[in-house]
Amino acid sequence: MSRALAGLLLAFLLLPAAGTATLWAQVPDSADQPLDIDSLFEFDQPDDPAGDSPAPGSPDSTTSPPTGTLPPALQRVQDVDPVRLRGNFRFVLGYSTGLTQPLGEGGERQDLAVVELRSGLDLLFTVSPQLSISQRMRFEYPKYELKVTELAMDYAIEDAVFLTLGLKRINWSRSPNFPLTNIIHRRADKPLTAPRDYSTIIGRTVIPIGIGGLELLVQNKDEYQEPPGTTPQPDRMGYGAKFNYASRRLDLDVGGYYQSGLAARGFVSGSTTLTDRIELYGQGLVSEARLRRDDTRLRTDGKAETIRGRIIADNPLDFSLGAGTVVSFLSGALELNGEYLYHGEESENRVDGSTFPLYWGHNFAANVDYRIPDTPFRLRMGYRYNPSLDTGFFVPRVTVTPYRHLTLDLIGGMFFGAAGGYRAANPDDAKRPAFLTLAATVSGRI
Amino acid sequence: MNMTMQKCAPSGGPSRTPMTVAFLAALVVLLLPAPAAASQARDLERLRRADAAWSYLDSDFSAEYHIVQDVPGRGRSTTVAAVFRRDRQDIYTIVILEPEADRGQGYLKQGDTLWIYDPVGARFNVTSSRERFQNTNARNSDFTQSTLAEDYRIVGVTPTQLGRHAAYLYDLESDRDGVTFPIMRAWITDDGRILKTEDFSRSGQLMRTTAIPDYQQVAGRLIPQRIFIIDALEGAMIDGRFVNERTIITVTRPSFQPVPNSVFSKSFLERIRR
Repeated sequence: MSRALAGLLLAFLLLPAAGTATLWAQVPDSADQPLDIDSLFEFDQPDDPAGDSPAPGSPDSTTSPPTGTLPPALQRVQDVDPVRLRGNFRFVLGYSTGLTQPLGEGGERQDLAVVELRSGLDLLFTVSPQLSISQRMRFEYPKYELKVTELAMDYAIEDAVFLTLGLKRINWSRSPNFPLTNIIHRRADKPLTAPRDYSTIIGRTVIPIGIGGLELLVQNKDEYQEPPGTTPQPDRMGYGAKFNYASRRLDLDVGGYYQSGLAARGFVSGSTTLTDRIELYGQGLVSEARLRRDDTRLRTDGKAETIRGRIIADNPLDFSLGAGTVVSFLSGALELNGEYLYHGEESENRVDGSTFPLYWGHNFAANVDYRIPDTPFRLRMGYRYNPSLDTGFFVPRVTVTPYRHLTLDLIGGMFFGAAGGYRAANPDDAKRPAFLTLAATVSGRI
Repeated sequence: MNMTMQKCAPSGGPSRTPMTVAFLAALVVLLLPAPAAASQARDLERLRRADAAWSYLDSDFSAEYHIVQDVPGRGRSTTVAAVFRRDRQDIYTIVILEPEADRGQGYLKQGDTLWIYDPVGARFNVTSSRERFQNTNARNSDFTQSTLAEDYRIVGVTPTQLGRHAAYLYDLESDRDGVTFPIMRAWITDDGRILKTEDFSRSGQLMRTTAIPDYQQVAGRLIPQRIFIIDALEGAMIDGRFVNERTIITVTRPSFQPVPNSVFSKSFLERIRR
């Protein structure tokens, strides 16, 4: 009797274990094992089918939420270590062959080795949910340059007003091709010694209104520090404002920017999404050259010319207008973009953070981006042409990502038209108007 | 008319006049659609219950989604995202928490417009609800409220059994351009729980299968506990057999507490501590 009872007890104890083993077998431990989805409905499910997720009902799961506090998921967003250190790296090695003249116009062959080394370090401090500080630096070869790309403080007042002070990246662009509305990053026409990025010293206030909001900023560009490295004078500061209204039908920006020595600019840009796969966008800008009497002299042809920034304005008032569309197909695998812009400004057309400046006149852009499904291949094509100045380029590119961190690029560059324009702004080290580059990039973040 | 009735009343037997037969036939024709119409109404009501179970119109919803992606031959990866929904305004915000390298990436959806914030370029780009979420088998549209009854028309409903569960198999079709999949089969219980779906392209190609085998009770409501997504097309040959890509989403820290308005704004995504 006692043996039978012991056997029954043993069976009672072992049965759940056997059942659990059966259940665990339904969800494979390895990605290489198939899953029979209908079998999931045969039994009650175990708590952790994938083995990598916290189970509902565990301390990580809240089935009876506390009241009067932030939702647990929002607490998790805000719950970060007080001090965090992050690194990033990018190493590029490649070979490039090209011609010193555009295709079909002769020229000599010129080969280049492509070497670029970059490592970055981010120090992030979270003092409290209201206050955080970020510091990002990077070191680059072959420039041997250590650059601080971000040094900024973010402070929140009652979850309603957000302040930023410091060196930070800000972008007001709407278009992926022509950064017309990124007016806070316009530069005077002084020669540049090196390309600049979006980072700029600012004080910024953001007040969310609906999904969008109001953004006010005071800015100092390093070119207006005279001499460089000193505290800026108040009359060298720039002042900008942007209001974003975002609804289910329209995403609208209205903004303006004024800085002594530059034209005053105001813009409107907007976009809307049609049927989930078509995005339409448009942008318009008006600029008025603010010519100060002590800076300006009139030329014999009637145009005004300033000494600071070499502004040459044929009209004090200029208008620019453009529109474009992005259409996606194949569940987003294929994306087509086309855009037109009439740009009315003849000066101050360099924009920090953009490879190419804006060009006066009619501008066309077309882009194709195709991620081939089930393969690591990505095909891209970029085309720009300005018939007013007869300048343009065509850049096809094949990218392969065979392994984690490793990317292979085959890039063809063809710049055509007049000698200035895109040919002069060509990012190729030797300004070759035709080149073919094969490069391997190893990059990552930790 | 009265005469006919008087003649018919005593007969009661097989010798019915042609008029009587016509009357009965008309009655049958009139009465037959009634059960069919009632059945259709019940089917639609059940579909609406299923939508209601996935839609939280009277409160905000937030949760942490653990998304485990299995790619045969390439291993397993895990993404953790914080999801905030305000279905009454058709808005959601998603913040990537893990992996650490992607922390701070964010999505903000209102209506048909879905913005994704690129912290490197410091700008918002518009993306499609149809696109894969973070390269998993989930689509961006999987994180919003359910609108099956609104988006699809019911082609057929069949009582069926799915494992231990009695369910109704719905064949659904949609001509709306906004839906991610134009043809769908859905196994739905009588109380409105969606157990399983099969999503098809317009040509009838099975694209993916989704299973929600278990639900959890939170604040008196049922919400999915785990969601299994099997991609019908993506996968690899492993040891001579095709193994599909799959994604398992586990919903943790669910809450119906109010979410601050500022979470549903672009500035929230811009200032997330990366």
